[in-house]
Amino acid sequence: MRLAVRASFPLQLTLGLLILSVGAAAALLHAPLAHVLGHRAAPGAYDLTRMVLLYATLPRLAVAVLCGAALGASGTILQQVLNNPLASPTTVGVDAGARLALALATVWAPDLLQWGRDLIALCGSAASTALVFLLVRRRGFAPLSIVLAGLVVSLFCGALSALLALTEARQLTSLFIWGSGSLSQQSWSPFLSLAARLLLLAVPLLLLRRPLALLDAGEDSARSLGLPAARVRLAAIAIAVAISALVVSTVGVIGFLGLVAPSLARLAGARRFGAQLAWSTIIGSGVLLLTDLAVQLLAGASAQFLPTGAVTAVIGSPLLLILLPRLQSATRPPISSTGATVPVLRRGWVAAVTAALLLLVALSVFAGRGAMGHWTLLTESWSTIVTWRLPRVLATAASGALLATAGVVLQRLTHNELASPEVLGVSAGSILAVALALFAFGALGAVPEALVATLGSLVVLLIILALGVRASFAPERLLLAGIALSALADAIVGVVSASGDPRAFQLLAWMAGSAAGATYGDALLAAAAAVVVLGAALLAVRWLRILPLGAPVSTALGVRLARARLALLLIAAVGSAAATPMLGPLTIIGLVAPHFVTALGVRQPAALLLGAAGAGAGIMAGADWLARTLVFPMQLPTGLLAAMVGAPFLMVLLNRRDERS
Amino acid sequence: MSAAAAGIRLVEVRFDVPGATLLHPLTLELDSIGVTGIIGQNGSGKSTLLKILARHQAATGGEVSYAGRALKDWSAREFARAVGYLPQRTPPAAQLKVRELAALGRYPWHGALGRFRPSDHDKVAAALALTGTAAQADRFVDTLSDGERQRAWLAMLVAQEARLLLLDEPIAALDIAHQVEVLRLLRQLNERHGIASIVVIHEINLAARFCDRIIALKEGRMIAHAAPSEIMAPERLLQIYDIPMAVVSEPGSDGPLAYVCNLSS
Repeated sequence: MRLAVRASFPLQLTLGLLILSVGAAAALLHAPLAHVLGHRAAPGAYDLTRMVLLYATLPRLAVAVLCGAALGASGTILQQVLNNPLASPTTVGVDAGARLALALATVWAPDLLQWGRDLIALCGSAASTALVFLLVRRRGFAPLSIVLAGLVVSLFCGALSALLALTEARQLTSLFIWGSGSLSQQSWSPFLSLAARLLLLAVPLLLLRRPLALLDAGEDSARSLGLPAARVRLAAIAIAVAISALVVSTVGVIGFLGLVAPSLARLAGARRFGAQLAWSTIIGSGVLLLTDLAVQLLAGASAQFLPTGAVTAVIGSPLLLILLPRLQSATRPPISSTGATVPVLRRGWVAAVTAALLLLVALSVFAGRGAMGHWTLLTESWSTIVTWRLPRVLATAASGALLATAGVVLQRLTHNELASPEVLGVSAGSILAVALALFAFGALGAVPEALVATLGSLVVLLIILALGVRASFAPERLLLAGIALSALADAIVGVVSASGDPRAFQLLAWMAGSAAGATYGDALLAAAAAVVVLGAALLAVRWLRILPLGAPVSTALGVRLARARLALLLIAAVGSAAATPMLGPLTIIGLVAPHFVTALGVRQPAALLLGAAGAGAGIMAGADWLARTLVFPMQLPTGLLAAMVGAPFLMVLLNRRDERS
Repeated sequence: MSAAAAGIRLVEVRFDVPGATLLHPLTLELDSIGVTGIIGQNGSGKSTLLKILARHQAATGGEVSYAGRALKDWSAREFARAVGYLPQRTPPAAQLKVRELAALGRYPWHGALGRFRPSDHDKVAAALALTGTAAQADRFVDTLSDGERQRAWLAMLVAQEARLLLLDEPIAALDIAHQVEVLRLLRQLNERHGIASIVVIHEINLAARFCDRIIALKEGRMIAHAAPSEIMAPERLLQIYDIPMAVVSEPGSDGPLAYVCNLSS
C-alpha cells in the first residue's frame, strides 16, 4: 500500500508542477494569445504583441523546457556515475570554467566574443572539465576523486572570476546576468540549434542507459557482469558534461537545477536509474518552466534582466527542503574512501610542510611593501608591524584555523569528504542576512554587519537543526539542506548583482571579508574563538573516531547519536560563523585544510584537528600576505586569495596522493 | 549477578513495518543464555529480533527487558557495557588499525571525555590476545582477510567487556576453519569468562555443535526453542527449512549431523 503511494509520487509532483505551470502560462499568455488570435485578419501588418509572443515569449518557454530537461538528465547521470547525491554539473566544473572563460574574454580579449559567446563558454567548460579529468586520471576516475577535483577546480575558477568581477566590475555587469542564467530570447534559432545538439547527444545516452543502470548494483558487481566500469563512467561523464555545457553556453548558469531535479526525482520515489533519469528530466523541465513563467509574470518588463537561473533556486530550494523528510537515511551506503588505500604517514613531508607554513606566517608578519611599492623584509619598524600587521595576521590565521576545525568536524560527522562550512549552509545564512540588512537599512558598518551575519548563521543552523532533529541529524539530509540553503543565498546574490544596484557591490565587498581592517579587538576575538572551538573539538575526538563507523556500531558502543551529532554540529557552526566576518563566507579553507593534512598521511582525529587548524592558519596567513602585497597598493580579498592558494595545493596533492597505494 | 537476573524477557514483542509484520508477537524467557543460536530461513525475522535485543530498533509493541530492567530504561553507555552488538555487515573501518578498533570497545567505560587508563590498555591487549589478533594489531582493518577482520571486530566486543554479545551472522563469510574458530571463541568466552552470546547462524550442524540452545524462527514466528538435540530431527528441520533433511550420528561420536536428502534426484 505504502509502496504504491511512493511509486506514484513522482507523478503527483509532476502533475502539481504541470498544473501550476498551466495556470501561470494561462495568466501570462492569455492576453497576447487573445490578441493574436483576435487579429488574425491582418497578417502583414507590424504587430508588436504578436512579434513578442511568437519570437520572445514562446521561444523563451521552449528553451526553459529544453534546458530544464537537459540539466535534469545531466545531473542524474553524474549522480549515478559518481555515486554521490551531491554531484551535479556544477561539481565537475562545467559552470565555473564557462564563467571564467567568458570573464577572461570580456576583460582581456573582447575580440574573441565576436566568435560567439557560446563557443567561448563551451571551451571554458571543456578546459575546466579536462583539468578535473587530468587530476584524477591516475586514480581510475574514482567517483570521490572526481567530485573532489571538480569542486576544487570550480572553486578555483570561481575565485578567479570573483576577483575579476571585483577589479573589472564595469565590464562584467552583463556577465553577472549571464552568470545567473537568463533565458530571454529574440528568436527561435537558439532553441533549434540547442535542440539539435541535445538530440545528437541523446543517442549515446540511450546506448549507455543500461550499462549505467548496472552501477546500481555497485561497481564491483557491475564489473563482474562484464561492464568496463572506468570507460563507461568516462563516457557518461563526457555526455553529461557536454549536455550541461551546451545549456550553459546557451543560457548561462542554471547549475542548481542539475542538483535539485535528480534529488527531487529520488526523493519523490524514483528508485532505479532509468526511472530517475526519466523523472528527473521531466521534473527538471517542469521546475524551470514554472520558474521562468513566474519570473515573467512577476517581473513584467524587466524580466529580461531578472536571471531565471537564480530564481530557480528560490523555487527549487524550498521544494527540496520540504521533500527532505522523505529521504530514507540509508538509501545509499556511506560515502567512504574507496578501496583499501592505506594512508602512510610521511614524516619528511609533514616536517617540510610544517616548515613551509611557519615560513608563510613569518613572511606575512615580517615582509611587505613600502610606501613606494618596493618590497621590504625585516626593515619595517616594530610599531608598524605591531600596530598594523600583527592583528591582521592573527585575525586571518585564527579564522583559518576556525574554518579548518569546522571542516574536519563536518567531514567526520557526515562521512562525506565534501562537507565543509560552505556546504552546511552556515555561510549562506550569513550572506542572506547581510544582503537583507543591506537592502532594508543600507550600509551598516562593520560591527552591526558582523552581528547580522552571526545572527543569519545561527538562524540557518536552527533551521537545519529543526530539519535534522527528526532523523537524529542524518548526514545526507543535513548536506542536502545545506546545499539548498547555499543555492538560495547564491541566487539572491546573483539576482542582486544582476540588478546593477550599487548595494550589490557592497555585498560583494562584504563577502570578500574585512581582514584589511582588523583591529586587536577582532584579532583577539577570533583567536579566542579558535581556542574554544578547537578545544571543544579535541574534547569530542572520540566521537570523531567512532561516528564514521556508522549508526549501528556507534549506538552499540553506547554513543548517544543525537546528542553527539548536535554537539559536533554546534562546534562546526560556531567555528564557521566566527570566521566569516574576517574572511567572508566563500573561502575553501574548511574543505582544503582537512584534505591537505589527510593527504600527508595523518589519520588520528586529534592529530588531524591540530594539523588542519595549523594548515588552515598558515595557508590563510599566506593568502592574506599575497592579498595585501600582490597588487599593492590595492588590497585583494583574503578569502578569494585563500581559494586561489588553497585550490592548487589540493590539486597537486590530489594528483599524487594515491600513487603508492 | 545471578544467572537468572542476567536473562532476557520478551513479552508480546512485535515489529511491524508499513504493510508487513516482520516479527509476530513473541513471548520468550531466556534465563541462562549460554551460547544461543537463532536459526531460520532468510527473511524469517532473525536479524529483526537481534536488532530489537540490541536496541538498534525499538519493537513496535511489547516489552523487552534484560537483567530485570526494561531495555528503554538503560542509559546508552550502561547498556553498551552490558550488551555488545555486531551488525551483519561490518562497516568499512577506514583508516583504523586493529588495535584502535579494539580500543573503541572501551568507549562505554571511559565515555567521551574519560581518560584512557593503563587498565584500558590492558583490557585491549587482553582482548587482542584472546581473539588471536595480537599479531595483526598494527595492521589496517580494511586490509585484513574476512576471517581476520571478523576477529578484529570480535576483539572490539571483547574489549567492551559486555556480558552478552549479539552477533548477526558472524560466520557467514568465513571458511569452515575460521567458522569453527569463531564459534570456539564464543564457547570459550562463555565457559571461562561467563560471557553469553546470541548468534544468528545458518550452518545447522555448527549451530548444533556449539550452541547450548537453539531458537528457530519462521515467517516472523518462533516455531522452536529447544536444545540442539531436539532440533536435530528430520521433522523439525523440514518444518524449519521446508526441505527434507536427514540426521545421522557423526562417526566416532554421538553428535548429530543433518544433511539434505536426495539432492541429486
